[in-house]
Amino acid sequence: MTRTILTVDDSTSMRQMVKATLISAGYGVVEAADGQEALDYARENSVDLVISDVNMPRMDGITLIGELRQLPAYRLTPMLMLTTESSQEKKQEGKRVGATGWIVKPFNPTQLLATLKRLL
Amino acid sequence: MDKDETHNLAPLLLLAVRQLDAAMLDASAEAELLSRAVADLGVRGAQMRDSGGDATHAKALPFVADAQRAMRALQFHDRLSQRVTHVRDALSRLHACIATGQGAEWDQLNAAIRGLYTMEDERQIFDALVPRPAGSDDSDGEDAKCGSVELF
Repeated sequence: MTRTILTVDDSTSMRQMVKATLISAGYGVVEAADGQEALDYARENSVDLVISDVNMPRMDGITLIGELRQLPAYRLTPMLMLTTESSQEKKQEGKRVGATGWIVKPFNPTQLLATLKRLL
Repeated sequence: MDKDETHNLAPLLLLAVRQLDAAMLDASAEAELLSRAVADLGVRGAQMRDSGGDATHAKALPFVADAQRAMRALQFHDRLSQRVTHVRDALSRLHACIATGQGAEWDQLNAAIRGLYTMEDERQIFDALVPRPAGSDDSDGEDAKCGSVELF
């Protein structure tokens, strides 16, 4: 069964890079341009993993993860932050709200796929 | 700085903000086209790798590796956009302070500008160049490195 990954980033080119990497490995991909769009989608549909940027308009990635963790369907879903944010403070904030991991951009496609394989 | 200098500086700061906005807009459409093309090449290469016989598979492997390297390299645009946006926002804040004619609360402004930064080297450059008020604590702990992956 194809696993579906929700990728959330306000940069179209970043979403394209992530999507191409995931599709090449056989994953299904859904895109959202900000946290609110992602949350709206996730409430109505099911995804197996979330990869989210941190700084986005309307709803940031940390808030998104916190909101998703409140939903019973996403209590155990792996959620990765993919961001330029490198500070310990932000990383700890992500961990506190329930992020599964923290990847600092630029991501390495091979490394990202290896991480997903561990989590799914 | 006297009133005349401030009067002349405000429009120049606004000019810099607008020029950066225009440059970003100009570059983003082209960067998206380029990213889409590279992403499509990566997907096609992977399809070749997975659907062909042994010979096609072997031929596709370096193609896929090249596409992945290009995808990693192309992410420079996202980082560059963010850096330029942080500079643009800093200039915009400085303009807002100066344009009112009331002068800037420098410590407050500096803290706000530092708070815009998301990348370690942005903070390092700031800390090396901008004097900090006595007693200010900017120790954010050790920053994560570019490309690093950490599972909690």
